Amino acid sequence: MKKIVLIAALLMGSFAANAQLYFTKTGTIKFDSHTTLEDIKAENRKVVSVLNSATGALEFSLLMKGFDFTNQLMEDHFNESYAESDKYPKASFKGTVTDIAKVDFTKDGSYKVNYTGKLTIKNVTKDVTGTATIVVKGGKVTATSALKVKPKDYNIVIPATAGAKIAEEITVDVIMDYTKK
Amino acid sequence: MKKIIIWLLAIGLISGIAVYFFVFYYGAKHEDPLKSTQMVSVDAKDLFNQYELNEDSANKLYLGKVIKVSGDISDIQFENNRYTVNYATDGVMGTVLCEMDTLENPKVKSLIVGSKVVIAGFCNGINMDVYLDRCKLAE
Repeated sequence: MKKIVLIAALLMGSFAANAQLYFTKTGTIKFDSHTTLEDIKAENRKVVSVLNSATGALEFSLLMKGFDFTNQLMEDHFNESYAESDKYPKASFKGTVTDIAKVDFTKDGSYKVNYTGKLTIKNVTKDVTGTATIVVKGGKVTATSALKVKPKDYNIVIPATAGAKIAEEITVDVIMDYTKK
Repeated sequence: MKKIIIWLLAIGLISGIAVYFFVFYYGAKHEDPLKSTQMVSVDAKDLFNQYELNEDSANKLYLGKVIKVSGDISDIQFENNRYTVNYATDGVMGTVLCEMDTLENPKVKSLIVGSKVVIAGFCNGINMDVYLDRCKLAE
């Protein structure tokens, strides 16, 4: 319900600013933890995201249990021991593409942009900044970015026995396939 | 002789741990929802309404559990060799989505929009849509 209110608010905001709203329910967020002992990869293909082309407002949210791991035990450890997905079922980002004006959404092209915002995982919210690439092609808009996330910043406690298998900093790849609303 | 036995035992132990690790950890297959002994059955419209009404309560009932959902198909999408079946619900902007196990592809291919279907999968909660993954056709 909250999400519907959010989308409705963004829609009204976009009309007010005479902007286009770009939306997806099938964004992908994947992460990769690499150590000499183990590679852990997971992918979530049902990320909901909205990008306002006038204001640069950018939001996404995802279900923690939507991460697909290569095997069941890794997934169980992630949900039960680290992400505590029953207690904290969602993660989200709310921020702004600070230089959205440089993107021409009316013609094909690739644009490097900067963003800033707040990333919330396990109810812990941290400021994040980064760069993204927005590609406009045939009316479709794809935004990609690679975020570096430290699990301990988000209260993800990794026991000493597993510490050597999980990287201190994890690369999170964000790929959003927007369509115009 | 004693040293050889100790070495053999050590090699055996290490091999055993390695086999266990690769077979039971790396090789651990995803659970089959149809083999769940605690499957909950629910109508797609009821499931969506429960989530819209109170997400926390619905999560307590369904999150992480295998649920068998019945209802009418409103849409079928195919992307990256994977089908997603959407149910018809009363939601304005959301619905119930089932991301199908790729092993089900031949069967899902023959499903028709508008027909009734029963699908079992793992409930991941609601993020506009109520989302189930690793789904299999249950009937």
